[in-house]
Amino acid sequence: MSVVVETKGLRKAYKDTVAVDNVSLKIAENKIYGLLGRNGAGKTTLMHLMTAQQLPTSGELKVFGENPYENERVLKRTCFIKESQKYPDTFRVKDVLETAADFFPGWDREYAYSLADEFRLPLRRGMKKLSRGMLASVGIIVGIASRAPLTIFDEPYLGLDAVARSLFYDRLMEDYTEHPRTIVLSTHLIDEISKLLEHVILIEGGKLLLDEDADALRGRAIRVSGPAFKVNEFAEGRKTVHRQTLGGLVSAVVIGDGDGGDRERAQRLGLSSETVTLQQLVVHMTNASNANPERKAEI
Amino acid sequence: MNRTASVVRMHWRNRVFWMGLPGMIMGITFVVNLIIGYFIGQDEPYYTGALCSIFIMVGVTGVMIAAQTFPFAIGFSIRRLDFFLGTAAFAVLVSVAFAAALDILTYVEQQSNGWGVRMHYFHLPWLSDGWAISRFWVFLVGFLHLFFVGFVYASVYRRFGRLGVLSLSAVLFVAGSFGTFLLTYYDQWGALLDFFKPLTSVELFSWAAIPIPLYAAISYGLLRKSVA
Repeated sequence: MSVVVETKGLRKAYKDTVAVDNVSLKIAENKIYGLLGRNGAGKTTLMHLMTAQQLPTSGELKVFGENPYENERVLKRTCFIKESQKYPDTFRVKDVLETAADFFPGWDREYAYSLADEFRLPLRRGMKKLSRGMLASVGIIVGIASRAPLTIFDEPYLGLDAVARSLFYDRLMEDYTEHPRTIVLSTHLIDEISKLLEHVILIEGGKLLLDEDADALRGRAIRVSGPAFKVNEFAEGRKTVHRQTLGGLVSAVVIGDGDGGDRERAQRLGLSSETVTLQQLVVHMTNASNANPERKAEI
Repeated sequence: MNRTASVVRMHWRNRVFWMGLPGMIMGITFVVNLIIGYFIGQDEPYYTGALCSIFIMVGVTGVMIAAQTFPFAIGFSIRRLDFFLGTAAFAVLVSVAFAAALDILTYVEQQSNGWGVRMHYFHLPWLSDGWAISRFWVFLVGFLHLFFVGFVYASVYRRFGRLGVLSLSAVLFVAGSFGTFLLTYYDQWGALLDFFKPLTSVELFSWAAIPIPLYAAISYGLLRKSVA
């Protein structure tokens, strides 16, 4: 498994805030990553650092094994689609696509125009006159058609309706299957994309909270409910990320071993159990880390 | 190197901004002056200074082009170095094209008796003295000098934001005031004029060409550490 992005103790500090704080992670080749976290958690800064659009304060950062800053070998294999992308005032949709064709070596022109057709983009319209959703579509098309070995989407769907969003997920998956590459998706709509994700990175307050395989994660988190003493017995020695009390009844989200034994054990104790969606898990974990900021999630 | 060429092609797609606007402004001032020249009559030659409009617009392009294209190009995985080289190369191309156009228009103006109304829009005393090639050089240096002054300003903004531009302006203002104060105090205005007076336009503009590489180097140094 080859590593595409590697950070060690990566840190980005501004005058009065630390946006990315001591983040060490590895992103593997040809997998789809979800970069999750609340607004202001440091996701966007982290992606800006990976693409050398901002410069780290300290720490180590390697993309394709090299420092990405002013590095043509790295940058031409990287495509970063962000919500705040700016375009020249005089540019039309067509100018953006043609320029992208020129900038990204893996660009598929025909495919880009067929996507523009599917997203119903008026090619001759000026970028300044596009609606929010159309602007998002341009970014999505550039992101998919560039076929960059490292493609990063930072909340690319803003203003897109549900139909266009599902079109995005479909086309992304199709093209990913045919042309595997590393994809990093940063999003709030976790439920919508949770099926696509192979790996989840969760950050909160600039710190890495979770870095785990998505399937393993899905199997490990479990919600049990029942009488308090039984829930306590079940949760003994395990990490509880969320706990809700209602009279004598407790409902808790517990992170277990993921070997399937948890459900049986819950059943033996007479507890009802259900799986936890990725979105719920992210919410609970983020809250748990805020309740006790010193404690890093160790699961 | 081919990504520098990509940046040049990006600017070519933005040619309305680079060339259309300055050309249009010059065209408008030209037509307005032509109409005035027509009504004044042909008894005396009519000198306008409106040619400066296109030079000012090229300086403005230098200021605006970084805001227009730097975040776009950097956001699309272009190196700062390639952005700088491509932009500087395109500025040279535009300046050459404009200088050649002005040279041709000067010739037409001379041959057409000032567009039929004895108007001097392109052919001006002192500035146009000499051969066509020396006029080309004067125009070219004028465009490049103004473009890169504007580009330095834009790069200061990209690197240090509004505060940087304000500080630079304050420093230049203080330096200018101090300079004029010294010239007045030591009664040296006459000496300064005596220095410039005998210079031909080619001589003066050749001096003005010297700081252009310096401006370019400063802009690159600033852009290198700028973020999108």
